[in-house]
Amino acid sequence: MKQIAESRRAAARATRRPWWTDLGLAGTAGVAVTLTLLELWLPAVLLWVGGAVVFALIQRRLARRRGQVVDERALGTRAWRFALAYGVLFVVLQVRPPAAWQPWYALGAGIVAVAAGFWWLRWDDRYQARRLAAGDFDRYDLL
Amino acid sequence: MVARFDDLIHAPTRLRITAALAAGAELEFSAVEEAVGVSTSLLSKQLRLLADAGYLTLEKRPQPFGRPRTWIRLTPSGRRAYLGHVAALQQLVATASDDTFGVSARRPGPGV
Repeated sequence: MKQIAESRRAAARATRRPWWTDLGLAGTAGVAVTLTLLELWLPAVLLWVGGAVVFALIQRRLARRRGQVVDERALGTRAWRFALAYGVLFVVLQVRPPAAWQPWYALGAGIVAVAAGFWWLRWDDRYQARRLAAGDFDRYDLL
Repeated sequence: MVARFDDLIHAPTRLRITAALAAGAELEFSAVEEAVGVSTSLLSKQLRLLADAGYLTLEKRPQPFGRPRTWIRLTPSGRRAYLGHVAALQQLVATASDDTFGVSARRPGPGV
């Protein structure tokens, strides 16, 4: 039984998403937020779309596992974590600082967006790995 | 899940392989190799045995760049056999604990 548990844990550990791809995606979002706050809309959209596509392709190329737990519990957990990360971003985007602070505020907001995005992506990945390692799912919920 | 001892899965390496594969819908060859900690040739041999029994499928897929990679997936019958075997082992452990200590030492299993 110990061997079984260890194999499952090792498989979940070996197939986790590389952290740097999450950081890259969160970084792209952070720069896009900074550009948005500087009212550079077109570069922000282009960067975000381009970055999302590039990092999605990289993650697909590096993936060593297919299949995620998608039961109600997993979807609910993902949703409230996303709401938390998005909530941080929403608040940051609502503030209108004095004009003199604007470049620094945009930079700070970008850094907050990177942190929130990275936290969300890593937490989600860790949650999936934990449940897969524990076998804590119904087999029809592994998609 | 019906507890059923499976001779093919019971060998330690094959048990570890199936346990690793049960932690995902499909795993890439090198990930299984890393998780199980055996040589490439031994892993290939054991995978072939399990594939011949219809417990898993091996699929070589081309990549946009780099060499093709092999993906391994437990078939529904393979997953059933693995779960049944784990359930049988749990029963054995529980029975042995009962015999030794005279108390029930049943614990929830690792699930799917």
